[in-house]
Formats: sequence, structure tokens, C-alpha cells
Amino acid sequence: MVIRGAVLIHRTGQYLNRESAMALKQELLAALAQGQNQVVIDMTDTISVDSSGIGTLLLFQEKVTQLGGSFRLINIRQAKLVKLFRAINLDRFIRIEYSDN
Amino acid sequence: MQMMASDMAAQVADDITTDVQQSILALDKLIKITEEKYSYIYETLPLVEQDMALSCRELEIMLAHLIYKNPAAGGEPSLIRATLDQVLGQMQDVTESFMDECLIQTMEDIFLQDASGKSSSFAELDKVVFDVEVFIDVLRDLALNSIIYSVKLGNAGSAFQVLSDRINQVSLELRHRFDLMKPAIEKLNQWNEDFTSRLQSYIDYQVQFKTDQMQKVQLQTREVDETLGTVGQMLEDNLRQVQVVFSKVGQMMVMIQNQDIIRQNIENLMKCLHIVTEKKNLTIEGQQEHLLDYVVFVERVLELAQGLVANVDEGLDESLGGLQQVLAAMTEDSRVIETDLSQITQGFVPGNAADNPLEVAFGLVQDQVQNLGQARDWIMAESGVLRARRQEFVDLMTIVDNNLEEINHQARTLKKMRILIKIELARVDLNSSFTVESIVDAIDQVIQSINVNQQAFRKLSDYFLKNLASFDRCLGLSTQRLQSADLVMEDLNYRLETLHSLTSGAIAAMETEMLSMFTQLQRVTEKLQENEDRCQLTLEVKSRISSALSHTQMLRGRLFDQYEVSHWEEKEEALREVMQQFTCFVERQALTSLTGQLEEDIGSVDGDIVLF
Repeated sequence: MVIRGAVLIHRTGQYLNRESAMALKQELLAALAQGQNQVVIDMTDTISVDSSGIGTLLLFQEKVTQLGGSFRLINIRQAKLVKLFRAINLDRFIRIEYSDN
Repeated sequence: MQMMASDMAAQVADDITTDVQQSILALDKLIKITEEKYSYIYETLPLVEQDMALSCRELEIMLAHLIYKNPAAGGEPSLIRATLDQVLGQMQDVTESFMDECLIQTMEDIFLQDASGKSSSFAELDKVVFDVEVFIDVLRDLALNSIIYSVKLGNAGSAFQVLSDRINQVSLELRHRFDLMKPAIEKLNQWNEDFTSRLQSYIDYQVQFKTDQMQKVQLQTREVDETLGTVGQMLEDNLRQVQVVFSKVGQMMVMIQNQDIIRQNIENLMKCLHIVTEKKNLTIEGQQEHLLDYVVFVERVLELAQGLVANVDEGLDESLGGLQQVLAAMTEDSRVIETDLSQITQGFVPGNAADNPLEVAFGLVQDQVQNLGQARDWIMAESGVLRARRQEFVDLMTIVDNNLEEINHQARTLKKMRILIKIELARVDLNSSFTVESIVDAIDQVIQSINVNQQAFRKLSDYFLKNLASFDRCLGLSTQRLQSADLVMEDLNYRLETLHSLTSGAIAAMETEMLSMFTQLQRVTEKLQENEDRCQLTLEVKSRISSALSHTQMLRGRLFDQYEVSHWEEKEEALREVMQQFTCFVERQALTSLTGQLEEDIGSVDGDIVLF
């Protein structure tokens, strides 16, 4: 996790599944407890997300918004992931920036 | 004598002190063990609660997004509902690319049976061709009349012989052309029969599909809605129950606060016992008064300590017992929830089509998408066949057209004969002009009829070909749209599968969390239930104090005998010293028995004494 200015950037690994989602949860909770409410999730390396991963993203989108902050996903580049997010209309609920590459 | 009493007292005091010191050590261990238990609960349960709260909230959000309307998004439909709407919409679009009502009507008008039982357009086509037979009959009569006239005129009528021959030639040519057209007409009629039958099936299939299948899809998406509603309700109930289970954590956190009081009680008891060990020095001085003071004091304090130990033991039992009870209830409730959730999850195992309501529901919609695909394939195949049959029609019409063109050519030949007749007319007897005029008129009529006939055919042909061209274009457009339906249906299936997988995954993840919660609660329960050490230590303290008390009572008895006294009063200062230890907790009975005369002084002790 990296903090640039007021923004907290967390780069997820290859798989956002139950185990990695739990770790992400703990890190974000700690960050929110310290007052960080501008959160960016960098998914450059991520190739797969399951329901636990999506649940965690939605959960923290809610939490950060409740704190008056912002939450977004960036660098979604894997075709499979782009297809998944578009199929479930995730961008209706979370701000997503798809990579051009 | 004094020496004997002093020696005996010192010996007994040593024993008493040993017992008391061992009690103090045991109490120290008791504090540590007890605090360990409380700390474990204090540190563990809130984390378990937090994890469960997060997991429950996650599932609530997932359910809200997937199944229910999402209030956060301004009441927009859920993902599944939105996707099903898209499925319906896209299936509707695909079926719209089937033939629309306007085209169906056009095709029916051109090719299909009307109310009179005979296709009007094809009837006209038949007539156009069979009129040629009429022309042949007329020409035959003309030829006959010409011959008759020729015979009548003799040598002067040679031109009419020529005329008759030429008319016969035309007639023969017309017959030849008719014979070529007749099989083409028969084939066209056969074509019409096959084509109309095929087209009728083509139209009927699509009409039926559009109504029946779309009704089925709408019905089945409603079933998916209902199933999801039921599933969502079951899961919501489960989540509520989880919240009820964890509402007890707060209660436990409050109960844990008792540990401070219990600890204080144990420490107070230890301080009292320390005083007893310190008082041992009195025996060293050996004076009667000191010895009697010591023994009476120690006896009363040990009696008090007995009461206090029992109280501490009871307090610990109550506190830990209470915690165990609440925890046991939580564990049992979580086990029930986990079992329920496990059964629900079993029903969502992917591939378990028979029992998995989601799979059944989604499967129904996916079946319809598949049916749509099959319908599309059939329609495209039939379109191909119909387009091929169109070419057949064009070829047959061309045969007829070419022959009618030849017939028209013959009509031009007849025109030339008309001139010949006019020339001959100038040469012959005026009495025969009427017959000649009537031959000329008849030829004129044939020529005109042939022209009209050909125009009628051309008009019909244009009409058919124009409509067939439209039909062909529509088929082409429909085919194009149906071809792109492949991508649409692939997308629909992917969306449905993804949502199905996500929903099942979310439920399965919840079940895993519940199992983890249940396991952790079990672990905490087991930890609380490890009472052996605590019980042993408490027993040891009781036993030691009891032993010390016995020694003290024995010593008191001996000293009273030795000094020939029946009663000895405790010194007030000594009692105050003991009372000062009880700043937080007082065992009323014990204190009253110890400080009966000093009750009015209770308030003057440092700190507030609170009766528990």
C-alpha cells in the first residue's frame, strides 16, 4: 500500500479471491481508521476476481463513501476482467478506469 | 510456662504462615489464569464479531446488488434483474429480426392461398399462358377461312392460299411455343405449391416462436425473480440471526468487566493473608497478651478469609459460568445457522441442477436462449432454401417470357400478312370484301391480344420479381441480423453464467465464514471450559486456609487453657488494619462478625467500601 499525497493506492495481486480479499480488508480497515478516505485500487497485475473479491470492493466502496471519500479501481487491463466487470455492470456502483493497453 | 507457650506458639505460627504463604502463591496463580481467560475472550470475540460483521455486510451488499434493488443507486434494478431485462430485450430484438407482420402479409398476398382457395396472382399467370391456346384456335379458323376463300376465288385467290399457309405456320409456331411453356407453367404451379407450403411453415414457425417462446421467457424470468426473492429472503433471515448471535458479544464484554472486581477481591484477600504472616512476629515476643492477641486475631482473619475465598470462588464460577453460558448459546445458535446455510449452499452447488434453484431458474432462461439460437439456425437454413427456390422461379418465368417474346414475333409476322391481304383486297371482287375485312379484323384482334397478353405477362412477371426481390432483401436483412444474434446470445449466456456464479460464490463464501465463526466460538468455549487449574488452585487455597485455621484454633485452645482464660477481645487497631484492605469489596457477614462494634467506623476507612 502506498500513500501519495492524500490518496492511498493499493495494488492488488494476480488473484483477488477469499484469502487476498481478507488481507485487503484488514489493510483498508486500518487505513480508514487512520483517516484515509481517498482510496485507489490498482489492478494492473490482477487477472481474476471472484465473488469474495467483488464483495470486498463493494463493501469498501460503501465504507469510503460513507466517510465522504472516494473509491475507484484503475488499470483494469485483462480482457477477462474487463468482460466480467462490464457483464455485471460494476461501473454502475464503483468508478472504474479501464486501461487502454 | 511462658517459654513453653511461646515455643509452641512460634511452632504453630510457622505452620500457619506456611499455609498462608502457599495460599498467597496459589491466589497469585489464580489471578494469572483468570486474567488469561478474560483477556482471551476480550481480544478474540470482538475480532470475530468484526470479521462476521464485515462478512455479513459484504453479503448484504452482494445480495442487494445482485438480487434486490440497490437503494444506493437510486432504486435502480438489481444486476440480475437488469441482466434479465437485457436478456428479454435482446431476445425481443432478435425475434424482431424474424419476419414482421407487414412482410408476412405481402408474402401471403403473393404466394399463399386467399379466401377463394386459389392464389389470384398465379391464376392470372395461368390465364396469360393458356390464352395462347385461344390464339391458336383463332388462327386455325383464320387459316381455314383463308383456304375456303382461296378455293372460292380460284386462281384469283392464290394469295389467300399463301395467307393460309403462313397463318398455319404461325399457328404451328404458337403451338410449339405453347408446348414449351406448358411444362414451365406446370412447374411454376408445382413451385408455387411447394413454395407456399414452405413459406407457410416458415411464417407459422416464426409467429409461433415469437408468441409462445417469448411468453415462456417472460414466465421463466418471473420464476427466476421469485426464486431469487426466496433465496434472498432465506439469506436475509440467516444474516439477521447472525446479528442476533453477535449482539451477545456486547453483553459478554460487559460481563468481563467483573474481572476487575474479582481481581480486586483476590488481591484484598492476599493482603489480609499477608497481614497474618506479618503478625507472626508477635509470637516472638512471647508475652501472654501478645500471644493471645495473635491467636485471636489470626483466627478471626482466617475465618473471614474462608468466607472471602468462598465468595471469590462463587464469584468466579458465576462470572465464568455466565460467560460460558452465553458463549454456549452463541456457539449453538451459530451451529444452527451454519447448518441452515450449509443446506442452502448445498442447493447452490454448481452442476447440481436438480436441487439448485438458481441453476434451475437460470437454466430455464438459458434454455430459451438456446431455443432462440436453434430457431435462428432453422430460419437461416429455410431462408437459404427459399432464396434458392426464388432462382428456380426466375428461371421458369424466363422460359415463359422468352416463348411469349417469340409469339410476339409471330404477331409481327401476322402484321405483314395484313398488308398482303389489303393488297389482294384491291384485286378481288368487291362482293367478297366483307369476308376479307373480317379476316383482317380477326388478324388484328389476334395481334392485339398477343400484345396485351405479353404486356399482361410482363406486368405479372415484374410484379412477382419485384416482390421476390423485396422478399430476398428482407431475407438478406433478417439473415444478417440473425447472424449477429450469435454474438448477442453468447453475451447473454455469459452474463447469466457470471451472475449465477457470483451469486453461488457469495453464498458459499458466507457459509465458509459462518463455519469459521462457529469454529472460533468453539475454540473460545473450550478455552473457557478449561477449569481444572482454576478449581485446583481454589481448592488448594481453601485447604490451606482451612489447615491454618485448624492450627490457629488448636493454638487458641491450648493458650486459653494454659493462661486459664475463656475469652480474649481483638485489638481495634488490628481490626482496622484488616478493614483497610477492603476498599472495593466487603463480605457483609464476615465483616459484621469481625467488626460488630465498629460498624459506625466503616465509612472512615480509606476509599469507599461498596457492598457487592
